[in-house]
Amino acid sequence: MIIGKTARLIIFSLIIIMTLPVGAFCQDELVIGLIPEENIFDQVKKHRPLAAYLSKKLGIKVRLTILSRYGDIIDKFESGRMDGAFFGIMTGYLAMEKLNVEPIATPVGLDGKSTVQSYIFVRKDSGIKTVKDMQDKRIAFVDSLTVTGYLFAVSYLKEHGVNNPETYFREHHFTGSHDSVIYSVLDNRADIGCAKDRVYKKMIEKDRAINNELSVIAMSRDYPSATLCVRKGMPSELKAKLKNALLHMGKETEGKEVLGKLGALHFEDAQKLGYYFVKDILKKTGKAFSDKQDQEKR
Amino acid sequence: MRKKLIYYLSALFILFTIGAGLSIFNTYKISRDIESVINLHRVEIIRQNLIINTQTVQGNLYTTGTTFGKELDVIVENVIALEDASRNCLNCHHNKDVADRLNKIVRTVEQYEQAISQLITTTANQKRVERLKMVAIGIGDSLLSKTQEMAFLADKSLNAKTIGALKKINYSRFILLGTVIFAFAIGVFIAVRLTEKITKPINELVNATRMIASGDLGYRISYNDNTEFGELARNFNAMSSALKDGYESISRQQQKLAESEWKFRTLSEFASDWEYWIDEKKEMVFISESCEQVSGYTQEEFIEYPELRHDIVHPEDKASYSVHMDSFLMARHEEIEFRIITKTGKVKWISHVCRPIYIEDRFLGRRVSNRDITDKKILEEQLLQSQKMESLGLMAGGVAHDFNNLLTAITGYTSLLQHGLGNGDETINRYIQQVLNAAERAQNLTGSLLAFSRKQIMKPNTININEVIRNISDLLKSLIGEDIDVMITCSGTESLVFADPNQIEQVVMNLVTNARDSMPTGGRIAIGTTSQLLGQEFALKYNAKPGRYAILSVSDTGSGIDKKDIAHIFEPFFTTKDKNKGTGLGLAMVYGIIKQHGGFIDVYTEKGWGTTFKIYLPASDEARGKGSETVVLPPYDDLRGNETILVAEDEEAVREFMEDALKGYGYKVLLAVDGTDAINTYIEHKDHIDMIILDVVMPRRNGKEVYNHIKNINPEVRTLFMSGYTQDILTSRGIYEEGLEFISKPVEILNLMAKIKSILSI
Repeated sequence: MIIGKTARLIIFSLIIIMTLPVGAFCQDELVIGLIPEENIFDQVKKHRPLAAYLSKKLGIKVRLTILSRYGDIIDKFESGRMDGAFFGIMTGYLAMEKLNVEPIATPVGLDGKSTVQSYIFVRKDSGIKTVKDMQDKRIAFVDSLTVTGYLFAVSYLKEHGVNNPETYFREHHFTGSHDSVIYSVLDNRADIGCAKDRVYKKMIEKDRAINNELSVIAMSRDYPSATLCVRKGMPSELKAKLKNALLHMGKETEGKEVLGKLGALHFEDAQKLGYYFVKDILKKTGKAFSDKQDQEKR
Repeated sequence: MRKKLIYYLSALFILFTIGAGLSIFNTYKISRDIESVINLHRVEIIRQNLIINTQTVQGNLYTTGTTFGKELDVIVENVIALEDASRNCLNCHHNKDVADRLNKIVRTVEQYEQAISQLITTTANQKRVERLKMVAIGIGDSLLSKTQEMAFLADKSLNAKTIGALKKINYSRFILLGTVIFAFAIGVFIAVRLTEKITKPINELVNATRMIASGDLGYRISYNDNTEFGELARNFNAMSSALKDGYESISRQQQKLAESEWKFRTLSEFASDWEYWIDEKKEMVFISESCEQVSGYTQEEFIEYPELRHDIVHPEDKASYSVHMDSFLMARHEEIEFRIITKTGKVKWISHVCRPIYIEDRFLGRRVSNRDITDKKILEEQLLQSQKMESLGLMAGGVAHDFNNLLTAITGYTSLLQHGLGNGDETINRYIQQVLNAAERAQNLTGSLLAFSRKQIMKPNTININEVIRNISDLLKSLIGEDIDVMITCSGTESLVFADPNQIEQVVMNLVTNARDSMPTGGRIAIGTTSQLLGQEFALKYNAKPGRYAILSVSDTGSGIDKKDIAHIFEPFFTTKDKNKGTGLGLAMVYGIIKQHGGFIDVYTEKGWGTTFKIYLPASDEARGKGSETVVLPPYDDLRGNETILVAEDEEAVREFMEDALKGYGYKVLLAVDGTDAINTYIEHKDHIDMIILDVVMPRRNGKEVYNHIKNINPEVRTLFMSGYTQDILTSRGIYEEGLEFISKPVEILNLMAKIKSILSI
């Protein structure tokens, strides 16, 4: 069979098109993960406007995915099922270490700060005022991979002479989120809790009983708040576009509305320098509490 | 009415608006209810979704951690859908009870979320995890129970609302239908009322217009109210009153106009002048009835044939008439005289006065007045004749006077010569005698001339003409001769005049001589006297004064006088006699003497029949002074009649005079131009003819023959004979018999009418 010049040209063109590498920017979806910093539903609802805004700005669908645990975020990145995520201090440190994720932008809270603190709080009726008073009490943490919800508390305990926390408390558990810790203490399912100050303050606004029934007995230094980081292989153009959209949304009316729902004033450029102390705190604390129960649950 | 109309329509509009408003309000309520029902259905769907979502999430919880468990994102989506569903429910408007229930559900959902979140994110021992799970499931079951309860209640409410909405729909249908029916009924009622309100006055108006159309002007409408129809009725009444007043005013004006027209017509009819009006197009727009009196042609004939007024112009006058007609458009007053030929063929003189008519420079034609001036013309001719005779008299008198002087010398010296010669030479004496004889004849001639010229010495005295005639009767008989009969008939009363008896004798002698000369083969001469009271009209015809006159008539049965000679017979030296038989001064003397006595002469002659001279002399004052002589004429009205009279007269002038005179006294007149025509006309109109007037001497058949013929037809026929001859002459000629009614020519009108009246009264 004799193939005409035109047919040959069409076939050649098709082959060329099919062998072309799929461009980084040719993806039709951007998946951003959310750690269960708060109630997972609140997390999703809070970030949905941002996802919609970014979808509009980037021209591709931005989809959110919630994680049941802080540790899952590393796994999902490794499996390539996420393009970016709002990492906490610890998970961010690990992701940068293991996956070379790149921090893009950090939200500045309504108080004007882009940092958070860790609170150690107790029920007022528990009579606990010092670490000594905590012995044989029930303590609730967020997750073993959070600084504000676990590592600061361990570090604090150790600084106050509790070298074996596993036995120092009658019961301990990881609620998975900061608000759950607060509710656990408030609902008297725990006597001591450890959580992020921003969540604590937010919940006080929603439930005045927290302020009445709980009291903070220790607070940490400032840590960088959850920062959006993207995977290493993300196309630079998309990355730049994403960063640009975030950094400039505070200047737009629509962007301001989205930021308001997110509970932030604006985004600022993320700095790697803020994570230097994680190594130090990991060294101090080690793994103080087993998360066996978690493993069993899984 | 406009207000009522507005009120009625406004009421209808308001009623309809209320009905429509009610319908719209009901429809609005129904639509709201339906919308509410629809919303409830939607809410029902939302509740169903809530239940389904709750059941789904519950299912997720039961399968969490198993191979049938859903991914976290799916669970999160389901829970958020559940929350959205609950908040959707809450967003709807509910009563407080429902809202409270929904708030509880929303709070339960939040608790459910919290529990689920805690269950999912917690890291704890199995027991704690199970406990968290049971807590979450418990909340979920509670939520499910609440939502199902809400759904049940809502379903009940929905059914109730649906039934309520359906009831309202039915109610709205009823309202709408009722409104339509009620509005229609009210509309019909208003339409009927309005129609009655409108048609009633209109019917009255129509009836009123019919009444007015039938002539009942001023008819009034009883309808009265404050509407436009009331105003219309009042205006109509005012209009009908105005119409009636206007009509009455017009009627009065018309009556005045008719009276004015009647006066004008009466005046026009009474006028003897023939008036007419020619418009700018030369068409006749008016012609008076008197046209018939003047021309013999009627108004209708002139109107039907306008050229008639030109055609009747005498051929000899047409040239001057045409010149006048050419100046029709000229703005000048013109007066001309011309002759016309009347319908009966008579020639009449017309004074034609023609005046242009203008109204504000607009030419409207010409007004013409034609006056019959025939009598005037005759008088003018008579005057001319008189003047001529006067001139001749002056001349003759002068000549005679001078000639008398010469004759005086001639006769004087001849007598002296005759006396001086004595009885000498006989021959010379004979010559001298011849001179004297000639001079005597010349003196007689001059005497005649002097008599004609009225230069004779008059010795007037009151004399009785009858005596004068009786005195010379023998002389006259000897003068006439034996072959001529002389009949002298004097009136029974004295005919007194103030005159010179010798001159009167001379007049009689001259007339008798002329009569004798006209009858060379013999005949009859009738001499008579009478007296007569002459009226104005008759006297004027002879340029004389009215009053009583003594009439001396001399008639003969001679050859008569030619008409062409009539005008000259009184001129000096005019004669138709042989050269040696007359001087031509006889009648001139008669003329002069009679004129000198203030009288006048009428000549009546028929060629071949003879001649009558009538001498009219004013009765003397003594005669007038006698009571017996006073004649009292009957009043004009007593002489009038309306009978039909046949007049037979061959002389046209006399015939026309008789016609005019009789018609003027109200009689109807039939004319005949001779005896045969008289018989035929009588036979044709015998049933209508009351009386006949016959001229005695007529061509073809004389009056007596006509009378005899008609008498055979109608023995009772009333007849009046008339003639210029005396009865004696007529009797002698066998054309008249005693006992018949007779009137002599010239006929005096009052005497004629009195005679006719007396005959008709028999």
